Amino acid sequence: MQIEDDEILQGFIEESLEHLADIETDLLAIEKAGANIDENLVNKVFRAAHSIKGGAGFMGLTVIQELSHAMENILGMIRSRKLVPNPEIVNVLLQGSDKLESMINNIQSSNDEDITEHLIPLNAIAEGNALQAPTPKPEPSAQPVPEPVTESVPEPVAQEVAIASPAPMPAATAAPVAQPQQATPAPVSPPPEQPIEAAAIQTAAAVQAPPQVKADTSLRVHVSLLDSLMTLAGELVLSRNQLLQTIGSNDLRNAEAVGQRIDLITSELQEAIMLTRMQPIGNVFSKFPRVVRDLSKQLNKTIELTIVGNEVELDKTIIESINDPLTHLIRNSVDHGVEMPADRKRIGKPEKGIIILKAYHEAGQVVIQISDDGKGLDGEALATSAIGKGLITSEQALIMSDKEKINLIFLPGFSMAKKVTDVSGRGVGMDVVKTNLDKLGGQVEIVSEVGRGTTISIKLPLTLAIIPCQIITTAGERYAIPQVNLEELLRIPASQVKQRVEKVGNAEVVRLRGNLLPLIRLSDVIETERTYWDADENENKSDRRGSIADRRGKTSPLFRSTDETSGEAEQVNTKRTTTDRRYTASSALNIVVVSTNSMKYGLIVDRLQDSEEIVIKPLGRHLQQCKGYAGATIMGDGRIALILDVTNLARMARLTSIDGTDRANEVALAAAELIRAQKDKQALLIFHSSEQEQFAVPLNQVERIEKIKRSEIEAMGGKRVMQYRGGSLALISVDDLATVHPLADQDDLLVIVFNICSKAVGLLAIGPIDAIELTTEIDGVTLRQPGIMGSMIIEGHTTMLVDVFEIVQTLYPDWFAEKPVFEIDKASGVIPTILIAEDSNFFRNQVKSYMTESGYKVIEGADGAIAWDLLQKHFEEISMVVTDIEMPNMNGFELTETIRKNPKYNKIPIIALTTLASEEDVAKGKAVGVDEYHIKLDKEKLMTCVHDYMKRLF
Amino acid sequence: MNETKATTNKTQVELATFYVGDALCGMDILKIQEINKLMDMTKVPQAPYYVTGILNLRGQIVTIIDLGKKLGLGATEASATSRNIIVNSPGEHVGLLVTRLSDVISADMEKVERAPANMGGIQGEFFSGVYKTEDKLIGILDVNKVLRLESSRLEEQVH
Repeated sequence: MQIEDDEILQGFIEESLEHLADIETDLLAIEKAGANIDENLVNKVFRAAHSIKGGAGFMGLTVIQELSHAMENILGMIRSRKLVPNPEIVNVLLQGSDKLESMINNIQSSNDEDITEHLIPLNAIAEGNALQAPTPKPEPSAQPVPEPVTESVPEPVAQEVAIASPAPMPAATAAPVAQPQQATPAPVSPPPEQPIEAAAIQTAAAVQAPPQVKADTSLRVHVSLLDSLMTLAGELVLSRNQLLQTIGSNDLRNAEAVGQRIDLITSELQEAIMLTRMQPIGNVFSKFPRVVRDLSKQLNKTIELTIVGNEVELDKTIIESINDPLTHLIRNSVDHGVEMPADRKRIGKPEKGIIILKAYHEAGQVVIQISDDGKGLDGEALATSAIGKGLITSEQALIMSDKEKINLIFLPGFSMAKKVTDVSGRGVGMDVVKTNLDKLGGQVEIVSEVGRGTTISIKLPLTLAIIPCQIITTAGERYAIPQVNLEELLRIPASQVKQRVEKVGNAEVVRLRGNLLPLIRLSDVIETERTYWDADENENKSDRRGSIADRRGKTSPLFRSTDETSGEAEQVNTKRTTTDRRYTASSALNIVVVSTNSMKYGLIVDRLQDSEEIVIKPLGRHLQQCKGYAGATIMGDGRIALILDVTNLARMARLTSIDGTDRANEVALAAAELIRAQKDKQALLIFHSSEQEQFAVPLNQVERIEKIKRSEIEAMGGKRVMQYRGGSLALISVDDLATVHPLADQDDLLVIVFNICSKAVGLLAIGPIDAIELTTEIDGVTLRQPGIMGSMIIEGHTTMLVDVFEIVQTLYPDWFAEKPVFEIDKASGVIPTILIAEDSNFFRNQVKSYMTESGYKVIEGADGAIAWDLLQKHFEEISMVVTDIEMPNMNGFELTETIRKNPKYNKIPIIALTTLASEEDVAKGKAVGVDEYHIKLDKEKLMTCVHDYMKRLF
Repeated sequence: MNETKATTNKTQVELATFYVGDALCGMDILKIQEINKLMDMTKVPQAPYYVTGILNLRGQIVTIIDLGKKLGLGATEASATSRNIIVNSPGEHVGLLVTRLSDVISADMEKVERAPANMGGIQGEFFSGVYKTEDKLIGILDVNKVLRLESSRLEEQVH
């Protein structure tokens, strides 16, 4: 078959497809009306079929002509009320129009199609009524008489005018169709032997699918819109002239005005051009009544589809691409969502299921909602199924939220259907839907309630060409983040970084209004140099911090790339005591909080800049492998900025809610840990003894702090004292016992007063001093020495925890002569055993050392649960329990409760140790059966108490 | 006269020659869209090793390939003499960063010889042939080869 003129053919294709789209809706309406025939409607469908027939005949598309002719016959009979439309007839007609559509889409091979399966029922219907209805018999196939051709061709032109309201427009679009009339009647001569020839090739053609001629190359635009575009273009030209003139005359004031004018016109022009691309979503929605009708029939369900918001407009490209995902979702709702009528009746729902398809504007985006009143999605079932398929582990499932579980259906390889039906579950799952929507910049959200129904919301941008973006800078380059993904901008001042950014395990998180937000450093994900912006010096500086909060700890796999290089630097950082960058304002953290589907995370960037409307330009194929970018754009200064793809960035950082379940796991655990740790805070007084070293003592041991002058110190009898409140206060300093730098030689000194063995003792120190609360794990090994209990990192400084008790004990051993020591009954040979439950290694070892020093035997448990096991195992030996309050698995209160509940153990003394004994806690402890409360590290009081109890026991 | 001109026209090709490092290369001048000295490129983190950056060429995003790196001669430094040779690639323009330009010479394609396996440190696969002038040896660049994606290497880089 030869089709001479591509343009005419294209015109025919477009027009026919439009007719067919209408035919479908109209046929459904005809079916609904039944015997009550709406003549106008039937007429419209009749004319559409007629136009296609005519056009096809003109083009020599014999098969299309034949089929449309057969359909036209039946429609003619309905029109003249010789035939009452029933579902069967409409079905045949619908199938016919489907076939027509597919043939028109593959116009080159349409003449090779076999349409007998459609012709037979069509002709049967026509003939069954032939007796009462003497309609013209269907033309026997491929013999288009020249006459009807010339007659029918003008038809579409006439109809165009009839259908479309604004008069000038159809004239323009119909032109290509009208053209052949004057130009070339000659090509219309389909050789009669063609069908035979075609039959021979048919098998071959069927094997290799012919390339599709896509009919989407032209677009209808309202003439008034074109007019306004024209006006704007005219204004733009005028403004250009003005601008040139202004530049010529060097008139600055005028230049500003012209600039504003051009700005205004460009925006208007942009809007108007956007409008030309806008199409009502009804174009896509209109096919769904049919889809739902056919499917529900096939599945024996009764479903009513309600469509709202046909008039909402979207960019043409989006309209075209949204079709397949929507179809899939609708089919899913029909197949899996709505239950069988019998089931519905049983659970008290109306037999007729309801699916609502709704489109509306919201916050500059278009939302498409598909809701059904079916059985809903069962998160647990989905999780079980995902575990069964090996997509996630059961541990991952445990910590998933309901929303995350429901989102599992987006995982590749996940099919919701228990059994595979031909309707859905053909291996093409929701993951494809999601991928397609991602490509469009859309977001999917599922809200579902078991038994009540499911609502799937798709948020789509109005247009893809121009998008508002947030511009940011990292490593000296600008990047754009689409505003759709932007949740908020967050700036953490340098002074708060430490408190708000936590690094627990491998996850770095920031606390934001009570929630934990995982953090990604942009420079790490895209593997550039880490830099930060120095506002004072107006330049980028390279940043060598190992982690955001600059703590010692495991480095995250996220930062694998920099581990090798930054590992050493980090070691240095932890030891650095003098200059810490975090105190400079320039190292505040700039965080862009972005969201992708159900995942929200913070992207750490160097600088936040303006928000701008940008034009997306694709990247070359050499850069297609860079998944972190969605494209590029040209900035006002002519340079290029890359557009970030936040979904892929999250994936690259293993952070997507589903892909990165490990990561989510970590974050969840970290959150739990953090909450726990928060309660287990240690209050410390930080002080110095020399410039170089920082010390700390537990704040609760400190009685007072006094400012003194060096001259007040008196050296008497080899000891230092000072006059204090009418007596002598013994003075000590850290270097008296520990090998540390000597007390700084300065006039203004501080005396930290402690009370040990009912005697006051003053520790000499220098400022600055500070009281802080922190949760850091104390290292009881590395820097342990006489007088130093251990060390920890406080705001980047290694800080030694001073053991005042030990210093005093060494310097003034006679103070302890009268200390109440429990005399172990040598005769009986019983050494009392104490069970210690404490999760912190440091504190456990500390308390253990107090006990063993005094001659007790100690059994230790790292948490309440372990301690409980130990108690049951060693009940005979254990005479006392010393427990921490905040512990994982089983806390101190729970442990006490468990012990007290058991009559066997309820006599055993329980001493609770805490870092901060709030009255509430004390009350709670007393309620569950704690005998005594003591503050951790207050060795003296604790031991006195232990001895007291032991004396009573033995 | 006319006849001879017609025949020579068939084999005569205008070669634009340029230096990549110290190696003299050439390519059919008709394949070149333009040559510019815009060096204000935007770096693309995680791009293939041979991509220097991207450039705004009158509203179009052009990927700039460092020919020196691509041919295995090491990075080409942006200098006063360095130029971008913009060539057409399917669906886009690509820029080739070269050290400096040389002359345009008229070459008789019939005299082009097969490229050796290795030429001045460059793998022979990147050349479609070698053209000898009186005093110089010009490697004729196979632009398609140069622009081809390095899939295997990409894999390595990704993993």
